[in-house]
Amino acid sequence: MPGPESPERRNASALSIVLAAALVIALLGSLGFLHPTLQALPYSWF
Amino acid sequence: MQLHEMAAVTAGVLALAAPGLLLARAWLPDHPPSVRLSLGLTLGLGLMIGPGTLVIDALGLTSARWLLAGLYVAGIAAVIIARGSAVSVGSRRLELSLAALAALVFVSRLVPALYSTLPIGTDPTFHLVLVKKILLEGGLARDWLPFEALGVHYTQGTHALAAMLTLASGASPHAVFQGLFPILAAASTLLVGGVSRQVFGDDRSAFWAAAVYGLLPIWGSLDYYRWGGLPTVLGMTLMLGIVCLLLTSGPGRRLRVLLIAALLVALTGSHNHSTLITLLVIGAWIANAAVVWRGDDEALRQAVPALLLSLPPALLLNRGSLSAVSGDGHTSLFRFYEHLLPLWDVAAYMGYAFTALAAASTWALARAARTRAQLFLLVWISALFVTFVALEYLYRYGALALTGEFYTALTPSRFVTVMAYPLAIACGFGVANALAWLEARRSLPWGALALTLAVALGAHQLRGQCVSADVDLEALVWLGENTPEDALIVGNHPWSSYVSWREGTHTKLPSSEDRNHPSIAFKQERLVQLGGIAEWTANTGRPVFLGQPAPMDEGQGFTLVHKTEQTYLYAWTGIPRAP
Repeated sequence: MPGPESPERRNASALSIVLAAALVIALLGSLGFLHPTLQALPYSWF
Repeated sequence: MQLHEMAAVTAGVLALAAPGLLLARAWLPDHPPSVRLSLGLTLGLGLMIGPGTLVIDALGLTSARWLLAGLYVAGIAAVIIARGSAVSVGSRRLELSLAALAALVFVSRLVPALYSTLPIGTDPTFHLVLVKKILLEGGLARDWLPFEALGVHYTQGTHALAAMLTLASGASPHAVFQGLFPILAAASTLLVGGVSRQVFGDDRSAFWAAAVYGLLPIWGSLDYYRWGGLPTVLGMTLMLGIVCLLLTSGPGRRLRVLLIAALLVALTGSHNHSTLITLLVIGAWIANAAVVWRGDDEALRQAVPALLLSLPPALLLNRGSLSAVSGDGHTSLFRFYEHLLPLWDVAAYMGYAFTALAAASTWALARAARTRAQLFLLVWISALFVTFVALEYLYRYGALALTGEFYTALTPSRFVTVMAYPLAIACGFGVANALAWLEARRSLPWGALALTLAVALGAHQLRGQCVSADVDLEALVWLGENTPEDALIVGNHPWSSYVSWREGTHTKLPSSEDRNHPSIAFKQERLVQLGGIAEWTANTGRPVFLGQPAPMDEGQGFTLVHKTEQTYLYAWTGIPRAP
């Protein structure tokens, strides 16, 4: 069983940081979408 | 579809997948029956998709039967050679629980199909056009004629499989399309359980992973049926098979490499987006293993040779798709107009209960991960989430800053859809641990209450999401039987291509196709105006028809030719000249 400082544990910690960073970017991107300018942009499927 | 059609499709699937079931029985003796069944079924269909599509491409549709005969011989030979090597694996209780769960998932996907003649959603309208073209032309579709004079980019493995199943079962192509959903959903539920067992090595996590996947995320994973994403369902089932084998170690590595390569070929032949997702996850794992263990990893030792083996046939199968990526820029791949998905919409789409459970379980997994298989699951979740964030937010805001337009690329919402698989596996671990914790404190009823509330909340969200095909089949059949073959349908219904087999002004095409081509823009801008129609008919001499839900003023150049209960059908007779 790998110990607390094993490569596996360090790997899991690094992946947690990547996930947390992505979550923060997603949150900022989501909040940015609330801006009226973006809400008013037209959308088209073609 | 009718119940007897479902029976015919199931029989057809078993007939085509039998060699895969035999090979799984012979070559995967150390896997439990639920995995041998689901992986064998996936492999059997995969062999007909990969090599089958190549055979159809080179020799024609009917030649696929010789391939099937060869696969039967290989399957029987493998079983005879491996006789006696099967060992009893997996607890009987878990296997029975998973069988009951798979049956429940099968029925939950079958019931909606029984209420509709045609599949629900827009995507089946163009998928079934490709299936019908393969059946009519006896080979893979080269173009979108008679609807659009454009080449086909979409990989046609799914459509070739549906065409083969249509011939094998005697059912209609649209019944085959609907019938594959319950079968693949049941198979992927069992595979989710199988992968979970490889990752966590315990029965409880495996059962709860399968249960969560089958019943909770995205309206109990019924969403595929709502929009008709059969290639995605098929692609993800193949991916689950690949992951299940990648996480298997021990004797028989060469055979596993062969099986993984076969599944990879089938995947690349069936769905480009699922291929992208699978390669992304495997690529992320290879990079991770290269950094953390300097490449000393069993999954990597299987993945790399399998990728190399599958490359030549995959390139052959994807000649058309490669031209879409490197083509003249008329596709929507990198200019995809889709509403931005804020995180709260992601939570609503995946289901609030599932999102909460998945977030807590992923956090628990990150804290507890000790084995390579557990890290693989964490890499799987991270790769999909990071790509979603990069495409949905970074690419979109980058495009806005550079071009002033708000578009994205490669359908990021689909990355959310397929995150349901690894998240469900993490949830299985979370639920099993939570229940064990409650059990130790004699508080199991609270766990049962929480799970019941989670499913009830999911069911509540399902309300109002019901959609129907809403097609006036009678009108579309009339158009097909009573109009000249070169007729143009103005403002056509999405199903008119498949049912009426007549060109329309609004042909539904996937985002991989040249749907921004000027010829399509011309039809949608000019041929919906009376002046444009008059000029076009004068130049081409082709007849024009129009369907309307309400009667229209005939003085505009259209004359009523037929009426159904829901639709008024008009023929263009020209704008009357002023006296």
